[in-house]
Amino acid sequence: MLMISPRMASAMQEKQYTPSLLSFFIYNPTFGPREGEEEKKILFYHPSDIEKNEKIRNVGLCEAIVQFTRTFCPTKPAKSLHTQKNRQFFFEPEDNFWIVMVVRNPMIEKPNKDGKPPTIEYQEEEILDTVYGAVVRQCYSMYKLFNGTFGRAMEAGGVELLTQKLEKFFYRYLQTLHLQSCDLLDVFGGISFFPLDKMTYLKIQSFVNRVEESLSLIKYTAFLYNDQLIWSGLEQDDMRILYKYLTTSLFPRHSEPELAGRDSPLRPEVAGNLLHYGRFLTGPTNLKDPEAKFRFPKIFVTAEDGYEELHLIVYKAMSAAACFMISASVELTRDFCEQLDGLVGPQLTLLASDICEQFTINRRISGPEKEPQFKFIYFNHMNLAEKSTIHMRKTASVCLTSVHPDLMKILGDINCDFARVDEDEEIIVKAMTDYWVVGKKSDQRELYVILNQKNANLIEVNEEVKRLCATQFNNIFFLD
Amino acid sequence: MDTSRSKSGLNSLSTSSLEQSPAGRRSSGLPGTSGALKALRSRRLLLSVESLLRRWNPEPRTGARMTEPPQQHYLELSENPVQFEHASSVNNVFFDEANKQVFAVRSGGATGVVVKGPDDKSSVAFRMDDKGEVKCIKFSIGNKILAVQRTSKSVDFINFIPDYPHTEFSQECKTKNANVLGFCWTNWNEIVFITDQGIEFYQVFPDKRSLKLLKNQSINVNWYQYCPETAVILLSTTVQGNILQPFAFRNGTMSKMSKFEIELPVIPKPAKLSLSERDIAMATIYGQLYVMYLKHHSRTANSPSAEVVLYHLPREGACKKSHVLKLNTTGKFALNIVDNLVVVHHQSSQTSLIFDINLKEPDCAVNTHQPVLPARSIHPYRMPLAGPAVVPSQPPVPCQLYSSSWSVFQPDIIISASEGYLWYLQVKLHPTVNLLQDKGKLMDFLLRRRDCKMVILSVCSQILEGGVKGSLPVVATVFDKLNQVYKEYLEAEQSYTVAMESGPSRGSAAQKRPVRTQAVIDQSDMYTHVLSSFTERKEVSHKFVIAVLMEYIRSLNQHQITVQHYLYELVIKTLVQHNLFYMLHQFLQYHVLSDSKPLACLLLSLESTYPPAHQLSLDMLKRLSTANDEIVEVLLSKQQVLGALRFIRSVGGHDNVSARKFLDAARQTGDQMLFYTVFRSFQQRNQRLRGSPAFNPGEHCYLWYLQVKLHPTVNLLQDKGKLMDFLLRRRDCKMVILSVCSQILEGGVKGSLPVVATVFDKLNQVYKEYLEAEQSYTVAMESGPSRGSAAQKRPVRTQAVIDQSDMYTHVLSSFTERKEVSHKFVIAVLMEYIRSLNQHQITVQHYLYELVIKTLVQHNLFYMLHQFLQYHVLSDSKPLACLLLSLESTYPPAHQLSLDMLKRLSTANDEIVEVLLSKQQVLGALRFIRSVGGHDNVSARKFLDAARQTGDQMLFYTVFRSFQQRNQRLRGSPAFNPGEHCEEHVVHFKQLFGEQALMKPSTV
Repeated sequence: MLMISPRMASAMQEKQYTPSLLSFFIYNPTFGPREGEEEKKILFYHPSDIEKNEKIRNVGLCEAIVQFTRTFCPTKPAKSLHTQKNRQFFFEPEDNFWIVMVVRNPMIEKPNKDGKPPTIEYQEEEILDTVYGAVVRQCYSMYKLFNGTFGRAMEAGGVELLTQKLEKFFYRYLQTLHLQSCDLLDVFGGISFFPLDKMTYLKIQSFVNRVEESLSLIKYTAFLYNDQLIWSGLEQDDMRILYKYLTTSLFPRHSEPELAGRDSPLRPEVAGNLLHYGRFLTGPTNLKDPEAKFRFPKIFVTAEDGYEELHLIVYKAMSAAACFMISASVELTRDFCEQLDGLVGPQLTLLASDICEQFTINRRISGPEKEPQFKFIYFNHMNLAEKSTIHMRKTASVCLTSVHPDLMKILGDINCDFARVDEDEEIIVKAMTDYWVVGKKSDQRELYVILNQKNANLIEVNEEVKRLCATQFNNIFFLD
Repeated sequence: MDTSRSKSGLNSLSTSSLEQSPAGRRSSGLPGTSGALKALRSRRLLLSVESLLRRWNPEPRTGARMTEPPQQHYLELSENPVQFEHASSVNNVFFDEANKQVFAVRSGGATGVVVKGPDDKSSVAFRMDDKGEVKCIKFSIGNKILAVQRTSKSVDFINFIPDYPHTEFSQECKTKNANVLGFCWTNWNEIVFITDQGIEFYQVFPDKRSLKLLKNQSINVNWYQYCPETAVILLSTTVQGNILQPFAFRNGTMSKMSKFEIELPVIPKPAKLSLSERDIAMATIYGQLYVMYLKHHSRTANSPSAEVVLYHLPREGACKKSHVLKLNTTGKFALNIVDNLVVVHHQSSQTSLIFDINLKEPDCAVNTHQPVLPARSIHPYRMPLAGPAVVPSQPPVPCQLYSSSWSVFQPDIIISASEGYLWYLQVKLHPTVNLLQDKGKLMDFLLRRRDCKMVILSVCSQILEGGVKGSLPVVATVFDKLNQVYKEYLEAEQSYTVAMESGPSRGSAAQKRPVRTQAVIDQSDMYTHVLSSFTERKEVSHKFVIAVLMEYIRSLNQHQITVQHYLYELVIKTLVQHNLFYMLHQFLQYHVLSDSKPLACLLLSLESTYPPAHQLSLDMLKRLSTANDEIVEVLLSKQQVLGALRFIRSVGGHDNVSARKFLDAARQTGDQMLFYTVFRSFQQRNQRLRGSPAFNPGEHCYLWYLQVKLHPTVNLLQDKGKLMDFLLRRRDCKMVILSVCSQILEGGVKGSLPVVATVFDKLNQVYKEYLEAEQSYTVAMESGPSRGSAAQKRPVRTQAVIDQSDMYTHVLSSFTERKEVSHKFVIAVLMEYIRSLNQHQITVQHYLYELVIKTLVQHNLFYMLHQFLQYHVLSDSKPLACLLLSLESTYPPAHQLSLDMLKRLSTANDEIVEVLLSKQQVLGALRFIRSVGGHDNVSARKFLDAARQTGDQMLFYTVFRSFQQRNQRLRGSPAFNPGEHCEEHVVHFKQLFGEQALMKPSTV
């Protein structure tokens, strides 16, 4: 996890290290209350090759800190611990279950002359509690999406099952954490919506309704295009995490091979049958394969009475993806999948080309001037809608931003300020090198703009932001 | 089974035109004994021999349909048939297609002709001379002229116009050796003779009893057909008879249309007449004229069954073969046109088929049609037995349908001459619903029918309520079809409106308002009859309900029809009922539910159950851009005062907005800084707009103005006396002081009266000083500038001078009106103020007294008032006295109080006199005026008037004398001056007491 910052060009041989994951562990203090049984508390520990005693020591330290800070505020114990070399984040998602993530602070390695070991400078103020706090919470949500709560595993198979599940899940999941590229968007955990005209939207509605009607097993449906959400039958909080999974894990995994080979994913055996581009992203890769297994990932979503376990079928045709969720109590068969493929494939293909066409038309109408020259991040707490012109396309491996990390940190700082008060606010910050950062908060919405204008003054910056609001957000109620 | 060959005499069914046997059966002879009738068009409609003679029954008989068997009959005979005397040996029956009249001619007309039309108005009965057998009989349009053909050479005419000669006149055909095949009326006075050698077009002059030939055309004619709707005559020419020549008639002109050839299934050799009149019919379908040809199955040709071929006959241009209707059977057929449907009756199976030529057949060639519905017979029909009237309870007998005695005429007429009935054929739409499984096709079919609305709506309900799996695509198709028609109507309506607005001058006058047919099912229909009840059904899953609603909205959108608000409401209601807020949210995000103020308000109302609705609502209002006021209200209600202010500024509405609303809201927050900011902002606005930061009185903002400055001092300095001392020395203190006064008074804290007193004293001290300075200045000015130094300057009235008027306007008047303050306290305060003024020797203004009196009177505290007056707390004044006088009726002592006051005023003698006189205290008044020395100048007349009114002669005498004495004293003569207008009273005095009683002018 090494990244050479552009700043380093001036100072030769200086090396900058980005924040990285030192350890990640989950424990429950009630499992080993007595001396000598401390190891029982630990449910999961990464990296696993650490010596047992050190694990126990680290867990004990966290336990102690939490316990100690409880004396000051029983309801809100410590959330993070700042030290010179690293930062620890504590999170108690369920009673007595603690997740701790230890992040190493970014640092700069300055070589010394005469072959002395290089001096290391830790930048302990460079990382934000809100960002990594959100990352920890996200870890838990993702676990919960696929496994249900910790409590559920305990009920089903005790500590043994829980540790198994944790091991299985987090072993893979932690590898996909890219702490160096975590930023404000992780705090928001928003959903990007695909802009669409009403008519096309209604067509999608119609499609979803028809599919749900004819395949009545389907309980919920979500519809995405270009990795952006259009319709969700799931509730917002569930959709939020499912969206995260789809866009950061499932879709990139499938799109990368597509991008690599230039050919469209139209497989010959499908083409021979019915001309459509539909295929399953989860479950069987090839329906015609007699060996194909009809197993789909299971997810847990909120229901009226606790949790509901569902099969997740993700079906994609060109850029359009439909997620169908079916109660896990139902066994999914080849017949069903073929039926679904036959019904959804052609319609979805047609719909995808419709959307694409409509989208191009809209873009042509609105013209290139609507293409933002502004760099901004917009987030609405109410519907979790986010929009960023700062972030490039997200891939499985890395999330690229087009601005300097320092600026991203300023955005994070402003966000923290906003979180502190309820009222509408506006903060304008002059950053180094002609950058201005503007944060606005109106009701439930937040907008962060980064401007780069030479010699601009406060008034000009303010005017510029007003212009942005007028062009980009003219149809919402945004106080300015 | 070739029934057509049977000798059963079924041929009558085909008399309308169509019969299986194409060979020349066109003999006009009557069939024999079967009782069947032979009606050949209208000419010789029917001459029937019926041995069974039935008495003519004058009683109207109505038919009754038999009770419905489970079979779905979609055709029925009209419930009220036209009845006429059935055909018999003495009664010939004719039918005129143009006027739809049935003629019953008894004994060649000698014993009467009874004409029955579709309604009573067109029914006539008359008698005419029997001049031989009637071959054809027809009225001209409007029953003006009757034409009767008795020979093959001529036609006779009888006038039916009142006042015109009724004698018959006759017209022979012009062409020599020609036989008249028949005639047709094309107007009330225009007639066409069709002969075997051509046609002759005449105009009839009923007054001159003659005809004029307008035009004629020579052509060999085998037979002819007439379509009255379009006034087109079709002639069969050539030997084979299959070349058809149409002629069109209009307003005295005859135009030859292009002729065309009917393709015969077999070309006969040698050539002979092969196209029968019975196999051809003309009718208008969907507004277009068609010639229908019943093409029989032929053994040689490869077609297994009969078909109907439709030739489209346009007004201009060539005739084209346009549609083929597949009958899929053989036998005898007859054709009707009902509601633009082609109905084909099949005699042997006793069923009928219907075809819709506009219905596209997916699996057929473009112009080939299969029957829309499976074959069904006409709905069974019972007719009452034609018995004597004495047995009315006799049950009706079933009518034999598809009887051989039936004649069928275009477009929709079926006649049974032997039974004396004329029915109209009707299509029943309800049974079709279950016969046609393909709902899309069913809709296409229904949308073209006349009385389709309720049927369509019920089909919609049926589809939705069935809730059959997979019905959503069907629902979508049905909605799309309905909205297509709806859309077309809306567009037509709009283009009509546009045309109307642009003025009738432009474009042709032909632009007609589009007719709204029953097929136009608008959103309101849909909502009322289908959706609202559907959404309320408990057993339907809400998912399906929402899917259907969305499908309907989608369809409307797809047809660019503006969706009505109530549909959105329905969607929202359904979503909210099932707690599907997130779904609602997503719909709004994509503007599926279009923005509108009502919708925004609806959303606002949802906020308590679903908080994000607030933001959604605001966004919507913002997008509407006409709802800025609403946005401000919403924000203020949430105490987002600054937000509201910034918003209204950003949309440029700051100048016109009500400052008070904002200040109210700001004050409610309890945030002083916020209040200050808002206040300042409005002051700046005022400055910019009016050049002064002050608020207009209309804005009702002065109280807030005070608030601004008061807060720091008022609440900091608890000692109000000290506060006043402080404030009185400040520059802009006036409004502040007044508001402090208000505040003290309104607080109504117990024990605040001493504070009030102190404050009043301090105010009045300053007031007094100013008044004194002003006065001394005035005095100095009056005494001239010479005396004293020139330094005497007019005193400046600072803001600290709070006079009575200020106090009254800003503090006391509103204070006394406050309901929650006890009147005791109010009076105490008023008295305190008056006390303070008095203490500083300041004249109390009348309005303050009035305020006191008003308050006292309001609470019936007359005694208190009395006491105040007694102690001159309320200073004397004429207005006050008058006020008191007016109170006399409720409080009698006020009279005295008033008089006392007037007396004390000493300038109110006249008033006192008036008061006394009004009370008829004439002597008292006289004595009073004398006592104050006003006697000499007083008006004698007034006193005399009053004295006379009392009716007391002595009194009058006394008063009169008194004034005579005064006159004597003043002018040396007891006589009154003319200017005193006392002549009347002098006369009265003389009458009462005599001339001598008058005082003589005394000579000194």
